[in-house]
Amino acid sequence: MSFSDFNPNEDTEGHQLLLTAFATAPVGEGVADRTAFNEDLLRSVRRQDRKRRRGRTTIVVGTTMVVAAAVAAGVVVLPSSSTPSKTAPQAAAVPKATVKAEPKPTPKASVTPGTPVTVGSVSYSFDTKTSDTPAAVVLDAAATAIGSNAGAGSEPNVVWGSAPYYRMVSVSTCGGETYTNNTWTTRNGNGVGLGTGPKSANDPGCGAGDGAPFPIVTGFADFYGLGNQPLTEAQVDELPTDPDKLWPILEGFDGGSLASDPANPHSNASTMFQSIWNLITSEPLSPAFRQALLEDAAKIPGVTVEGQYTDSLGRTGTVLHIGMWTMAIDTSDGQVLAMTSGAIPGVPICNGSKASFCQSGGGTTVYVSAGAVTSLPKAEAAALAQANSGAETSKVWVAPAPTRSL
Amino acid sequence: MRTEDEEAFDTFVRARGEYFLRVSVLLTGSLPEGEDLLQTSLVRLYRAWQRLDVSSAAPDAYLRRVLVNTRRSWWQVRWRRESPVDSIPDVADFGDFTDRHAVGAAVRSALAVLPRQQRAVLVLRYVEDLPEAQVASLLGVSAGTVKTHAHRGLRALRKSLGDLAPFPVNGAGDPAGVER
Repeated sequence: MSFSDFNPNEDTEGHQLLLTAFATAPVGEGVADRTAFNEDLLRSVRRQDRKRRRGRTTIVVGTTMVVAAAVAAGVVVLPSSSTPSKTAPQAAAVPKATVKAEPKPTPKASVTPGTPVTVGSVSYSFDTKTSDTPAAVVLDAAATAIGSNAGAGSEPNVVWGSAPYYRMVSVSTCGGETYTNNTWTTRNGNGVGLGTGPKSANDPGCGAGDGAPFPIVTGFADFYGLGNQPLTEAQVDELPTDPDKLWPILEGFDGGSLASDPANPHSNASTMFQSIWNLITSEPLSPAFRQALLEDAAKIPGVTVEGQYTDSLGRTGTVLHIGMWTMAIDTSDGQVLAMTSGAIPGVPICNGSKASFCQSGGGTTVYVSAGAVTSLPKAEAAALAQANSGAETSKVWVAPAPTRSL
Repeated sequence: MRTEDEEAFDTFVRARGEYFLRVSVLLTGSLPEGEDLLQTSLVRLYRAWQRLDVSSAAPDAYLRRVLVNTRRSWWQVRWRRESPVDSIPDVADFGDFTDRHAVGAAVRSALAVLPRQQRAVLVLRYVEDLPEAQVASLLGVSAGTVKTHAHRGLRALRKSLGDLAPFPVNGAGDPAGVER
């Protein structure tokens, strides 16, 4: 067979190319291999199902406590972005948090809206001692505070929800390196990013770090949704802002199974929790909708309140945890301060996949500043125009290269 | 689960396991990730099996939706860490293109570096042979978006296959490249 056999008709070409790739995928040769693989699959499925049933019982007697104590071990320091970082575990000696432990206004990072910034270093600490405070108390307080708060990174007098860009400055770890990310996102999911930091030698999925603006062309439904349900921008707009009406819809997105196995790192409850933050920290949503999302996040079973979050930007927050996600929120203004994934010793993300992004531990993102802005720097505006025009570019937002060729 | 349900699930996996493993490999871009995706999705299918009416409809459709959604939720874990690159990585050494396996390997290499959604469209449209409307419903996008992804994805595959591609890479007003 050669390429000259292919029919120029696009559908035919598509079928021929893809079916060739499908048919020759090296998934085992011969009947014996295939039979063995299927039997392995069946055994593995039942083993995982039994593990889930056992785990459900354990939750009642305090799995959360064990997990929380394990997570509490680390204070991770992000050094200057020019220096590769290493995780430096130390004992965390932060007082046990209560919701009232955040009375004084903490200084916010100073970021001029519309201007790219570099954050040299941020150190932070998640104190994950288990608290008796119900998650609903923390999240309801945050929901009340977030209502009128446009975000510390907003331009003065900007009308939240109507500004064209959602501005985010964050610092993240990935593949042992540190990255500062400046992004401006529009309501259609497209945006423009400016990443600074080294190219990672450890993980091809980490930042390129060349400091030039690059268009983010995602399409809203590509990355945004709630639970396992992808949603378009228009579908999000149609969701009710009454939390009591929104909640059954959220449950319906995952087949009404949010109450099932919340301590499972990959449970629907865990996925729903993360997706709410993904939406809140990425998109200029209306104040009423953000408030409803936070109030409904409080209803997700299995979310626990842990200790206090502190960072070198002078901020404090309350730590919440479920499954593979640990996040910090400032209940005085409802802002998400940081989120970390897969940071449970012994609990890999992706169900133990050997894929590089799963092995790298998921990483941590510190949200330095977020808010609504009305303008973009010139270079970023040009990159965004390129993203919105659908024009193609040699610098594009693509998946990392596969770590293992077929 | 009742014994007859257990047996029906086993029969389904034995009959369709290999097929969906191949689909998973193409969706994820690698064998290890494909195996993980299929295994995780089958666990979810197993838990839902009793609720499914497998007598009136094959569980293929349910499993297909779980595969797509599971893949998507994994993707969310890492999406913030995706990065721009100057060019797509080199694909495998194609070697002798008269060999069917070499062609398949080249297509898989090219497919693996496409944007996730574009890759999913190509797999669902041309491997699963689903109509555009059904692909659109599965991915939560419009039929027009599916059409665009299919066209651009094929063009990117053609481009990645290099000079040996059977059709012209660039037509007038039809620049090649990889985009989301």
